[in-house]
Amino acid sequence: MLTYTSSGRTNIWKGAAWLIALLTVLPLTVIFLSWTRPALEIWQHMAENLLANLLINTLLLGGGVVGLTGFLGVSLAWLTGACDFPGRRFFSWALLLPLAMPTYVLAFVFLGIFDFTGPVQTFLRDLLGKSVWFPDIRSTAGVILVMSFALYPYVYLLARSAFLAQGKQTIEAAQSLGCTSFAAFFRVALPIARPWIAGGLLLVLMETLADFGAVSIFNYDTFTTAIYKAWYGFFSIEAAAQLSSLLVIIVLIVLLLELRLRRGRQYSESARVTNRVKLLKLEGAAGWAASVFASIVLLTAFIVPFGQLIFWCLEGFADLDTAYLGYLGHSLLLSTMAGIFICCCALLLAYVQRHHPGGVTSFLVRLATLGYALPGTVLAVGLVIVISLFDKQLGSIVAAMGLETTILLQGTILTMLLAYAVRFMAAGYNGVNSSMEKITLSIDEAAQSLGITGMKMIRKIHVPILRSGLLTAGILVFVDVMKEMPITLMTRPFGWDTLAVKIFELTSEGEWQRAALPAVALVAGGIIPLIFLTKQMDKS
Amino acid sequence: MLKRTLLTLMGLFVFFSSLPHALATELVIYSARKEHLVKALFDDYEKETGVKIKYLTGKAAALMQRLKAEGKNTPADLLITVDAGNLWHAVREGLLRPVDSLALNANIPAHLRDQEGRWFGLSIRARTIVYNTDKLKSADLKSYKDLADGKWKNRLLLRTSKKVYNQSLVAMLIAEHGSDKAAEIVKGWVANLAAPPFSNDTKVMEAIAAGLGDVGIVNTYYFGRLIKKNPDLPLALFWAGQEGNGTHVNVSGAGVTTHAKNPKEAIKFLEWLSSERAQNLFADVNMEYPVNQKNIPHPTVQAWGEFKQNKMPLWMAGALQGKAIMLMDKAGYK
Amino acid sequence: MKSIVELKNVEKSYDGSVIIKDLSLILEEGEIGCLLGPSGCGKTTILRAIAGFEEISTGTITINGAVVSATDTLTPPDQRQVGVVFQDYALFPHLDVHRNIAFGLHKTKKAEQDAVIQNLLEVVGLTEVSHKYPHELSGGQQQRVALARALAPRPNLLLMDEPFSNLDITLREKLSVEVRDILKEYGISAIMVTHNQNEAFAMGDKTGVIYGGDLLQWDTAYNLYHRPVNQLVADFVGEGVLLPGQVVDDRKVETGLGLLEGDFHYPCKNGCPANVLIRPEDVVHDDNSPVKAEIIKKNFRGPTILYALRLDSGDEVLSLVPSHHNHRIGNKIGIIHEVEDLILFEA
Repeated sequence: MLTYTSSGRTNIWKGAAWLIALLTVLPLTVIFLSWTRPALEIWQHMAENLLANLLINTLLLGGGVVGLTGFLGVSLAWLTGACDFPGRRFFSWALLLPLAMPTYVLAFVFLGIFDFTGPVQTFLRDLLGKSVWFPDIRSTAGVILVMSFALYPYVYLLARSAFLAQGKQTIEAAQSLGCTSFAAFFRVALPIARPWIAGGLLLVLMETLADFGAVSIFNYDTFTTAIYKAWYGFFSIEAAAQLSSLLVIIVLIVLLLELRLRRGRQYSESARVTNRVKLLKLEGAAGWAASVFASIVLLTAFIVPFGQLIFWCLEGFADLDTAYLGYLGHSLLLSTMAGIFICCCALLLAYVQRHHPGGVTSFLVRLATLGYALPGTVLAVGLVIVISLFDKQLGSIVAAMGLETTILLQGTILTMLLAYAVRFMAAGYNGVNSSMEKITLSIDEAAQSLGITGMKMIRKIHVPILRSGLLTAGILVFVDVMKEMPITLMTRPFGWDTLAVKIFELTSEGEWQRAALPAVALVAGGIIPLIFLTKQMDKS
Repeated sequence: MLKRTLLTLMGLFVFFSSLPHALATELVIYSARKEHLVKALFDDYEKETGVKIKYLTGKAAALMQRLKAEGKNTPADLLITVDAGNLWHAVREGLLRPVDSLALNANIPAHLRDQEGRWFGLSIRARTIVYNTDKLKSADLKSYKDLADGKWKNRLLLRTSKKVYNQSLVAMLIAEHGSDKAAEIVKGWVANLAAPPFSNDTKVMEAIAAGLGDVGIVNTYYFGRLIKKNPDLPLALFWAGQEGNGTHVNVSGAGVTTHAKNPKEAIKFLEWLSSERAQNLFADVNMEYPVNQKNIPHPTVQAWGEFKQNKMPLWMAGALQGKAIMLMDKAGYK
Repeated sequence: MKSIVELKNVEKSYDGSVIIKDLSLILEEGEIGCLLGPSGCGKTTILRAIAGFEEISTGTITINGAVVSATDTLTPPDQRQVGVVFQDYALFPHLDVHRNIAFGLHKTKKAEQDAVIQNLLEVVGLTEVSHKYPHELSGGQQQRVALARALAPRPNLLLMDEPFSNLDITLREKLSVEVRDILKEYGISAIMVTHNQNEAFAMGDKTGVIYGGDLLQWDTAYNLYHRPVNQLVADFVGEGVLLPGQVVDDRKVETGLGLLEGDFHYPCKNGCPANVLIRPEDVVHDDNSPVKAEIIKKNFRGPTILYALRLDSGDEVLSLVPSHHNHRIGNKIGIIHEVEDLILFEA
């Protein structure tokens, strides 16, 4: 406990953290309260006909995507972070580009290219005759593949920074104990990086569990599609909320498991910053194999799909009008605002975590970052209900004062920002907190002894140290919000159509080629900050 | 820096929260019909009457949930949505109010609107059979029920059962044949599938044209759009069930919200939409059929020929939707 | 005796700057060698070259009779059977003490492994904490784990990079004695890098003074102290001053301390200037001495006091006297120089 913070201030900090956690708790409460009105008929139907299949599908998808993103993310992170091969510098940033590609866009592009009617199969049929066999892309393996290619950058990003942070000494220690550098990777570098990799995989798993766009394009039944079926088909928001609560419980279990695995171990490196890793030079064939591997991933996950989008764009160019400037502007503005807002909240949480560590704080942080695993729509529903209640309460107070009743929060940008904050707090918090951990309490004490305290300390000491962490977090949130669709659809005010909304409108009518234009704009809008991010990463 | 950011955020909040405060001659619409299908109409109406239209698009259920949550605070005057099932549910949730308008009742046939005037169909789309003309002749085809026959094994392609159009279709089959018979039909379809269900009608047709299957069930306007872009495809429509009760039709429609601030304007706009003047605009942009009998469909649509509509009241699609989904789930139709 | 490590004319340059210059040394089996020098002198680079983490530009490094590094060959570190104790220990944070020590034993059988580890744990006194993780240990314990881990595979040679620099002084001295005992008990040859001469003297059978990439002298501690080969070594090893003087004949040098007599080796025997190395313990306090000097600084060390004195000539010398001879700064005291061998360097 710090002695220099007055207790009044302490309460403000803590209160703010409670407020942020409450943001997530309220919609979750609404979701869990749905159990007071169990949708028995639908549950019975689901249990009899769907649930087993849904669980198997969800597990297969989650397991497959986690496995494949783990393989892709870790191997690529190791190659670009610890090895030297032709094109390493280029790949180390280019491999992040798929972050700008929403899963639903990658899904429809993949189907467009590889499905029965797509150019690849058509070409093969023309070449080899009608009976030529081709693996069905609209299969479990297909969905896993597409989602993995869209989501591996989360693992890559975290694993790579873990490998870079390890320094060379642990690897050298292993080598001096008789490990080849290859074996040292598996016995030392990989296990030490495990918490970071686990963090990345957790993000991937949550994204996968929450995904609706990609799975519905592939018509692959998961928990999310069941949630939507309950809502859009049976018109039972209760059943949808009840199904969502199961999803929340699954995520909680996974989080607890991860926490248990980590318990009792602290992986933080010694404070001494060791020199950079000496890159393992991959000579000859091994080097080229690495380049080919990285190229294949980059081509599949980004270049080919983006090329296909541009190609479709050229066909559907007629759609381009000034309205697109508006969509693009809205996307950028919302993403920027959400990025800043979420970073501020995350910063606050990280401060509270730092100054008042303990069970309660950890619990609050866990709560506040839980929204990442919820399907956006479910979360939006919960939040809309909460905000309507709030508005009604406030409305009656205002009316009692003799003033005209108007909508207060509903349908405002603030509602949107709050919803984004609930959904993406995890993405922002992880980035901010990891750099917050770099500021030891002795740094604060040193500053304090030099007469610098309070806001001045934050400005002069913390912000400069946190800068790159904040920037990373901000950009990740920015890109996530750019891609976000269901919350945007549900909570946006009038006239606030974004690129994602446009993509939804066109894809839901099956007009995938016309959706290419907003998709290209969306991806391009996300790439620019990403490139900035990678440049930042190279510097540190 | 932090302080300035916060100030900016607060400023933006104040600015945007002042936006929804409605102006007097403004009409606020929640539309599940996509922007590119309604925008031109709104613009025309604005130009003609000076009434300003503000709109928000989204998924039907999401818009309805929003309406419900907003309650009497809602800014929305009118809900436009596709599929009668959605409209029926909006009524059940108490989101739409009864409207009594001579013009609307005159313009729209009775089976295409709610008996109490809570919603009105504005355009008709048929969900019928499409086939590969290289492989089949129209004489080979009969009805939805016929597609369950073993002779179509590995030849049928369908869209996902999660789409409301299929749910409404099956609901109508239940209404027509009873649950058991309908279940048999759906099971037959599933057994005949040449590939897992697709996520949209266009993919179904493309796959049929490419030879993955021979026959499928689609909405007519998707066929119109695809053929317009790609006239050489070996595809044709077949009017299902002409020897029986007719081809399954559905509507896109609208209703005035229960808590509309501006119901009069909303009704005026609905009347305008159903008028001869606007009907072709509304229907043609999406290659649908106008509900107003005085209007003739777009020449492309007309070229598909006359057909007998199934006159089953559309509200049944909503009432039986849940049953239909369960039936399809049981049959293993994904 | 057989040599365990031999460096022959080893040079290493990096980006055009020379880090190690033409360096040769031999360590006999069972010996402990220390490399002593200021930071940045290249001593760690030498250690890393021996370990195989760095390539060398020219020359050869031989371990146990096999050439492991040369201009065109580099045996990878994992095949050298060389143990390394790193400055920050580089313990594996994901493994407990037991498994850290077991790390290098992956090719031995489990039972044998356990016996070795059990033995090592006893030797380093960590049996109690064998299931703790590195972050749960104190600095000294971490150090012992690092040592045990490096020793477990029975390396040909143990390399230690400033192994005690992260510990406090008392622990440092205690551990350095312990480590030496353990190494001697196991008969393991070792090379340690340090910038602390006390550590080097306590541990090393031989010590090399490195300066600017040069090995100045590779010798016993006694010789380094008493017979430094040049002024740089004299400067770096021990305390003392270089007092300017004039060689009078082959046993006498005239200095500000008076006429000093003793054996010395110096090219010129008459009339040339020379610098005489004066160690503080050789300047003895004697009230009867004709040579008086003014105290300008004093440093109380418990049993002794180190005085800095100004001679009449203006030169300064250091004198180490028993601490009951307590004088004030500014006082003049009598001193004499008592030594049999004189160390002279060219002025």
